[in-house]
Amino acid sequence: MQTPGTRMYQRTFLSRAFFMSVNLEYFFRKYIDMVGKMVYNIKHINHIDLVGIRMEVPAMKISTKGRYGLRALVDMAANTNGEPVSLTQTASRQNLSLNYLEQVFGTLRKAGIVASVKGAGGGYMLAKDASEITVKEILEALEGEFSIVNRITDECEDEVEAAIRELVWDEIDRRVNELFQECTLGRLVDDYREKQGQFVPMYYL
Amino acid sequence: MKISTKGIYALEITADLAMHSDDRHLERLKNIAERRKLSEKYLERIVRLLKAAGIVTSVRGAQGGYRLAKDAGQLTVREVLEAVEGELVPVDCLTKETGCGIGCSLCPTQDTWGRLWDVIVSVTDAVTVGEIVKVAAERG
Repeated sequence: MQTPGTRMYQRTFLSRAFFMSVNLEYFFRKYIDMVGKMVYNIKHINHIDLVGIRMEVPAMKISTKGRYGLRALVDMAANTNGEPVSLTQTASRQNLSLNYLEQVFGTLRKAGIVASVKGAGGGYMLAKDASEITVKEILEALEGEFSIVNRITDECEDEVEAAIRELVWDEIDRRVNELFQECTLGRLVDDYREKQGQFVPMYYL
Repeated sequence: MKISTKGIYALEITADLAMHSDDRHLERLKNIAERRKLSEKYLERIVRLLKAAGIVTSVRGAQGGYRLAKDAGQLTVREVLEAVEGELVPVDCLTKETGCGIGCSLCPTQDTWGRLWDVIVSVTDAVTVGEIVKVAAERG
């Protein structure tokens, strides 16, 4: 299965004359939709143009796996002093499904970010110090490498595409990767603990 | 987060218009479609959004066509992308209420997404279509 961030869209050139008939075009479009959805795991394809097929891929926000996964990990790391944390606690504090968390932490474990401890009093622990785990490595484990656009790798780009890529996409990616690399789980945990310290439940006031 | 192909094409189209139209010469959709390898129908959809955002203007008729509504050097990438993609926000909770399960004041990650958003905004705000055209011309 392809990880998000490495999807490519194909450009195929077909003769327009061959698809003059509206019916043919319609069915071909449906076929490409279906294939596209299966191959690229895209939920909805908005448009396919048959003169040089450039597929439209909808904008994606940060995936839920990345969003909730990072949140759960910060929660877990903030609620341990070295002892294993059970996912049920994190699930209840963060209002996330246990099942979902199990999947997420399975991925994090494979990436060497957390380790699982079996048995009573078991759960998950960080595999290394929080200050050594970067947001970059966490999100890459959960979502693949960050890129602001789906990269075309098998195409030659013209000078307009190249200029846009150089000035916009590459620059954004560079700075985002820098941001994610600098930000550690340790820092997020500190910020989170501070935030919680400032939160005063209503009934204390 | 990802910017969709609609945003990518909108930028290409705008740059193309900057290179092939001006006060005196309007460009036809057909020519833009050919250069950018997009169908006219699809192109029209994007151009309509750009027009609504005040980025391009059109004149109908035989001598008609499209051109940029403002100087390419004043037109930021952010404006163009926002015209077709809306706000370039990486997670919805930065700008609206979502039912994510916890309150923002207790969120461990909102700060991180906020900083991600800042990067996207600051880069797209700083690059103009004029610069894109300049770099494209140097390469082309």
